[in-house]
Amino acid sequence: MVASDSNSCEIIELFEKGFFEQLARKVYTPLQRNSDIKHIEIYTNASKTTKINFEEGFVKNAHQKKSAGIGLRIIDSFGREGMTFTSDFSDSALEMIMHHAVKMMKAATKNAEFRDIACPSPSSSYVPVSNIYDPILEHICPEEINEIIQPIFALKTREYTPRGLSGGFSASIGGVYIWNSNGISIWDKFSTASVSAEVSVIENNIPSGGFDWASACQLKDVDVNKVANTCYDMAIRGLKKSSLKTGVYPVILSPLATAYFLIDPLTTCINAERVQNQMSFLGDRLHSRIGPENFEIIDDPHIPGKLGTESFDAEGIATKPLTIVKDGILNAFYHNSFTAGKEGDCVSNGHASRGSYNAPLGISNNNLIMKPGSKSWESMVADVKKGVYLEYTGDSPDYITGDFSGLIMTGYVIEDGVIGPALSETMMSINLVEAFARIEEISNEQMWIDEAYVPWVKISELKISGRH
Amino acid sequence: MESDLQSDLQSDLQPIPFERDDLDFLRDLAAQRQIQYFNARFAQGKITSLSLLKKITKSSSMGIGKGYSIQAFVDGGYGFATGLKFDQESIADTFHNAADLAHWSAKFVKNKFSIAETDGSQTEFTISQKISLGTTSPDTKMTLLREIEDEAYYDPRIISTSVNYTDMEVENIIYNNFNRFARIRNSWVFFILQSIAREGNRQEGYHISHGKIGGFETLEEARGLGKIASDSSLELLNSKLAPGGTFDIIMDPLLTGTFIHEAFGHTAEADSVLSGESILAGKLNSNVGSELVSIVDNPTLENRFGYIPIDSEGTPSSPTQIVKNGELVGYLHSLESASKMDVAPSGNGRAGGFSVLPQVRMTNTYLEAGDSNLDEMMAEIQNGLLCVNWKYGYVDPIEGTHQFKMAKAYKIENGEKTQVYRDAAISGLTLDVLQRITLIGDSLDLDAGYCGKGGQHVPVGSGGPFVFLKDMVIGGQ
Repeated sequence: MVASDSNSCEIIELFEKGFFEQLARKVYTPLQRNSDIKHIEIYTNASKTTKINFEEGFVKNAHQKKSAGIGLRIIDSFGREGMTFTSDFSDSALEMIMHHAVKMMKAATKNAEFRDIACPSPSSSYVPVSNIYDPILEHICPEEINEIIQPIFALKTREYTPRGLSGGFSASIGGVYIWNSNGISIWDKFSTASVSAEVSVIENNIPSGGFDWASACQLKDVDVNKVANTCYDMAIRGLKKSSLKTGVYPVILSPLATAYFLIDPLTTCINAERVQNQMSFLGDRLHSRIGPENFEIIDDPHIPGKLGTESFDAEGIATKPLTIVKDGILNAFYHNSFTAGKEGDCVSNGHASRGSYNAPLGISNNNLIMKPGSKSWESMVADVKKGVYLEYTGDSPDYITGDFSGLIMTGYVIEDGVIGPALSETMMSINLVEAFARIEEISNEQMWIDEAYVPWVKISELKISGRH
Repeated sequence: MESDLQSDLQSDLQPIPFERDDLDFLRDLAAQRQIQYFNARFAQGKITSLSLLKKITKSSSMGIGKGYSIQAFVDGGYGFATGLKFDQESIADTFHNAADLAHWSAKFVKNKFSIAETDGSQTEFTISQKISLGTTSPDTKMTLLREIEDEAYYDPRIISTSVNYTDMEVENIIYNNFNRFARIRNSWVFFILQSIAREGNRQEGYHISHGKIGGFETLEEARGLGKIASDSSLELLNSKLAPGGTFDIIMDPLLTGTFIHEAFGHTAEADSVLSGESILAGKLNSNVGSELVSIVDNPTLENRFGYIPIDSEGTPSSPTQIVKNGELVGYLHSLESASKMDVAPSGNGRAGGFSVLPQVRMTNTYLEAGDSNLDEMMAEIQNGLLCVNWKYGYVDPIEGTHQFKMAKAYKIENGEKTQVYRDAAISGLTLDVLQRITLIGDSLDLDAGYCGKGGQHVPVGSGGPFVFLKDMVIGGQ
């Protein structure tokens, strides 16, 4: 049996800024003496998750998971970068990541486009954000979670008894500490509560499924009743199936479809790294018209209590609101310090991301607000003689060309202004550039879908392929 | 800090310092806590990730990690907890945490059941590496990647490339109260290269992947892939958008593999059958496809990406015939599903790492070869598509629908391959599609990839031969 390493620790019990500061110091102090290294960045995070999964409408299992680690990036004067990480906080493991970081750095190519790692923003630009940490989630226990998910279990008593009823609830708390050799030393805590449910029903040998989920920083903002009702209603509605003759139809996007079919590809393709490497269909459309005049999207990192809310990004740079699309014109790309440096005089706009201590530096969005229109979504549907109401497609476009062809996983026929049976074996296709240009109407109502606050949207024409 | 690199690399992966005797105290704890079944999974490993963008290093990283988990079961309820420290006191605490959660879960389960005991023994498996990943320097790895990437730039229309390479060396110990103690040393390499071509305002990309169990020698086999990816991205510059509608099609072995994995394999996972979320529920021993169709999941193929000698619950793996001549003859099982269905477990209880729960998962899944060849299939088609490779796919097991995006397709006119198409998607109802298979090729190929389920990803192989299908719905412009 191995002896306990005196420097190891159950990190959750030491879940505070001071511990991470001390850990980072153990790493950067010896590295600062290495003349080959010009820049050092340390990213640490820890999390604790309590989760219950249910199946057939009953609790299936409960678990508690702890995770913590430290990631180290070093860069030399040639722009060569080495990165190492570990979940082991023993002195020997820390020495190992320091040693290997140098080896990994020397294996990298020189990078003449590298300028600098992140510099601290002026202290006044770090906007305090509120309600992103819910202390209730620190000690939530399985019994409490079981009470919270009762509305989902209550679906067992509805008119159509579900054949399957599965899903889960998880509560996570986490913290991140960032230090770099340009003077950044910053820490914050966050939390997430999530619920998901999937219902299956069957009638006359026709199976149908419904799903929904909700996530929020605060437990009180997770609407379990809505999740239960949405997935049940979706399953029931799917019992009546239809298809459409192959052709071109108007399509009403639900907020879920707006978020995942329209907005998610847009934010993915304004990632400056994609743009700089010719991997984005929006790369040459900055300051060009991409949609109608009433098409407007703002990225706002400071809305209290939302999933995309943060005071600083994954490099420690202060976040700030960014207008992405204004009057139909594409206004900005997302940058981290590397892509900003590559642009010469461009300063990072605070969109660096890292999935965890072991992930490389990336780019991502915060909260996305799409401006509402003037019409109710019901009246948008009522005006469609024959078309499609799209709830969800699991597909993504080709980000290089913008071409999209995918399955309508959850969608319905609209006939004479009424949403009718569910579409089966029906596919849709369009280029995203055309989809933005064909935005004909935007509803005056919006809904939160994860970190996006989005309306219903009507696309005037989309190619639909069906078996009929 | 200045010690020799090679010796340091070798010291990164000292064996996990437990033998069976060191862990037997957990069986005593299980008896005290009335835990009917548990597994303890210890892991430590090293991962190297290298990525290049347009010949410049984007990321050069190496990570080391270790940890363990304990899954406890009683009366149908599971508890699961993870730990970081490899000492008896911490492991015991984690065990009690899992046991508490299992007893709590058991209060709410729908149907109490027991896990049927399996035979256990002490076993050891080591994947052989002809060229050790641990002692191959990052410089050597980077040099080979750059050479493979350089192959892509044989034409001035190639404007961009990206390369993402990962290798892993992992040691796992799986211990359970069915007398199982297994030490597994695994290693693998996975590599994706994307090439982007541009002509005028037209831009197209194509990616190609390569994954193998073994050592650094497996990356040597990836030489030539840069050119192959560029061949296709250049070809796609002349592509048209695929037509939408209903066509007779031929799927190549890579797309066939994705179809078999996504559309059918997931529905044959017994956990979804038991939870009422599979179209195959209640269909055992009934016809689910044309009589040409035979499907196998085989975790024992040692040179394939989905190879596992033993699953995460401690069950030795074995091949499972899922469909034989169109008849559904078996499901894939974990200990739980096998116990509930009163069959032997198939060794398909896999977890995507020590810190997550095992689920029923596929390994190497493929459609068995038939007796036709591609020329015969082409001759059958007046107006159809030859569908090549895939970008991604997914399935709704409840409704039995599936969707795959193919990497490219060719129009078939009067038995001849003509225009190349891009961005075509294939969709259908799985059981309907399996009936539409009318010809199956006489040789098969397997591709390597990662399969996602419940937020976990595990390495899998999937494949089959060329397959001819009638009247398939194709999504296009």
